[in-house]
Amino acid sequence: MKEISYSEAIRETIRYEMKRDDKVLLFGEDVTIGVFGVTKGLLEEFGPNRVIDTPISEEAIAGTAVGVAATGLRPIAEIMFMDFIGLAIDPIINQAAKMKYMFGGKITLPIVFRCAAGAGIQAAGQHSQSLESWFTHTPGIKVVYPSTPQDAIGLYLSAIRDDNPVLVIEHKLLYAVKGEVEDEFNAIPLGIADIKKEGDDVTLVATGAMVYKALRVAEELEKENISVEVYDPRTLFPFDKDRLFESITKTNKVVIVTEENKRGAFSAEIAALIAEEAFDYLDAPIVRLGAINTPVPFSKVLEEYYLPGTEDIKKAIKSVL
Amino acid sequence: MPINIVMPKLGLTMKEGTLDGWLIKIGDTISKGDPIAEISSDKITNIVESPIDGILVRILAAEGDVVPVGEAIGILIKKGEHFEEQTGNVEKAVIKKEGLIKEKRIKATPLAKKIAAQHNIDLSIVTVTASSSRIRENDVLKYIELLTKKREEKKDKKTEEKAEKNIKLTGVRKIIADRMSEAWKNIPHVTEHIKVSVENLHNIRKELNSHGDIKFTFTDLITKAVISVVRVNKNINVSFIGEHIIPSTHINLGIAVATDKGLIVPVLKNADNLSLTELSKEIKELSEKARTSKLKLEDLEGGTFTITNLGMFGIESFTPIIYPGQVSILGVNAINDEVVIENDKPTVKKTMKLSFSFDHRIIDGAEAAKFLNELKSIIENPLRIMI
Repeated sequence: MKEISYSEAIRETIRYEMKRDDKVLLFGEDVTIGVFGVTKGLLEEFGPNRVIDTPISEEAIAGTAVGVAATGLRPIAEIMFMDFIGLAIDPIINQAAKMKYMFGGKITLPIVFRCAAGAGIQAAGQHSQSLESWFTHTPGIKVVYPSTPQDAIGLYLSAIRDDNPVLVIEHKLLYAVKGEVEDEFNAIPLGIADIKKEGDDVTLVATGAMVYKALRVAEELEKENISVEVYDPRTLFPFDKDRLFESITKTNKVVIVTEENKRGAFSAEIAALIAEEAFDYLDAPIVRLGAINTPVPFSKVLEEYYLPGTEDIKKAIKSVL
Repeated sequence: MPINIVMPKLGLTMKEGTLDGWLIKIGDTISKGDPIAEISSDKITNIVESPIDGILVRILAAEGDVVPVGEAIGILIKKGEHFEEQTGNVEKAVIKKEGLIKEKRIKATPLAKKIAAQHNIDLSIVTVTASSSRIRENDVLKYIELLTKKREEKKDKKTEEKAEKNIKLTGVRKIIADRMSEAWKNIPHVTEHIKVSVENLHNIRKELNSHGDIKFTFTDLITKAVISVVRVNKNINVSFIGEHIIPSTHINLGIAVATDKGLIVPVLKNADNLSLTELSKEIKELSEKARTSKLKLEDLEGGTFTITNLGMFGIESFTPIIYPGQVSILGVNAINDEVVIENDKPTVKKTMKLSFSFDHRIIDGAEAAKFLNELKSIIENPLRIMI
């Protein structure tokens, strides 16, 4: 075991895969430098044919990814901020997500789209969003959201090796977060959730950076004899509902917290799944927490207010007990 | 106009009575004075008679119910009348109200509903924890627990009730039990037995009954003898209440009567003023009243001395228990033909034993013996009875 940061975990995994498979290549805006430092140093190791800076055109990046994947390569295409992914929607939604289906399975598109999401660094409304629900809504693309260095390693391995388009969401605040990782690179199959903390009284579903807030709340509530089970789906699609229902069968109560603004968020999909399929196990209404339905504010105070906080989570948990 | 049949007041102190049983059914047509129901107070049992010619339309008290005096135990109507339930509207209103409550949506969590359904529980009767706005798992589980407990308690109670029914005393039996216990606990009883020749009494009875219409019983004659002896033994004819001996100016003679409901002791008032004929008549009347539950409360009160006769059952001696408040009781036994020595010769005579129980606090053994000997003497020389 060793302790590394989330960004190191991603870099090391990309490096590991590029070493293992020369079909893997990385491109995006300033990937040779790495704005968040994630891809720093890869150019030196793998050369300009495999680590390529692109023009500032998300559509071109995504379109290129579709094209090179169609030829048999395994591109890792970086959209620096998830906020700009709107520019690449057509290649992602209409090409990458559809092609295998529309060609009757004769083609595979092994693409990893990676992007940085989330608020918390005062990057304001166009550099802070959490837009996972746009993609979890779309059939044909997998959505991965690692929260720890270990998960980043395991999920990246699976994402790169997957023959279908996979969107990996990385939370900006997590890049610096350190965590213990195994010495070996072991893949985590997509669609397997992780219970980050076991508990009996309430199931707390959390994704990305919210996992850490959830764990803090769970630890604090432990002192009040409230036992919180923290469930991290790790991949939003495929979604591990079996593990979630197993937890709810035990606790009968569920609080979902994601950083998305609440309206139409992926958390609503989780809530709907529970209501549809685990209804009889509920002993309290499903409580869903998310950011408020506004653009992400620039002001530090407002940004904090905008995001679901630990106090909000505590309050929500107590409301269902 | 429907007429209420009410719990009658049988004595000044009576506040409630027990309905021992109905003698008629709903729909029965009855005449005024017909027996309707048997009731009892703590002192007496009686029969409620119909106040009118009519039909019984409602029974409001069940057998064994304790009903306050003056409260209705049933409703009668006159023939040809139509009975309308006066409480009908109220009942309907209640049902309507309950219906409304049931229609109201009950908030419960899916899990609570599921558990309730599994246990066949109506969620409208489950209490919600104060802090919650809806019924939750715990509320249902608590209710189930409560229900189980209640059911078990009910079961226990039922078993208890069943057991009680087997032994619980009511009506006359209860009164007898209480009185006997009271007497036996509080009165230091001594019983003396004396053998009496009733040869002469037998003959005089034969003589009396061979003339006139009235047939005198041994009880009549013995009672008359007892009265004449008690009259001169003032210490015997007293009441003992609390710390006080209360002398009685008259002899109020209790006559123990066995009825199919138990022992009843009607009191022959001023028995010392009655001729043998009057005495015989009164004893017959009282006994008949006792057997048909027609005694009034005053027929049972004020006794100063009691006679109890088990002779007809062949009993040769026993130890009667004193009626509380009195100080003695005379037990009369069977008459037997016995070989006795008379003038140094064995001869067969009719004899009988008298068993006299007395309260040793008030009467000494010798005094009681003197009383018994006087009684023996008068019975053996019965002409004196007539004086």
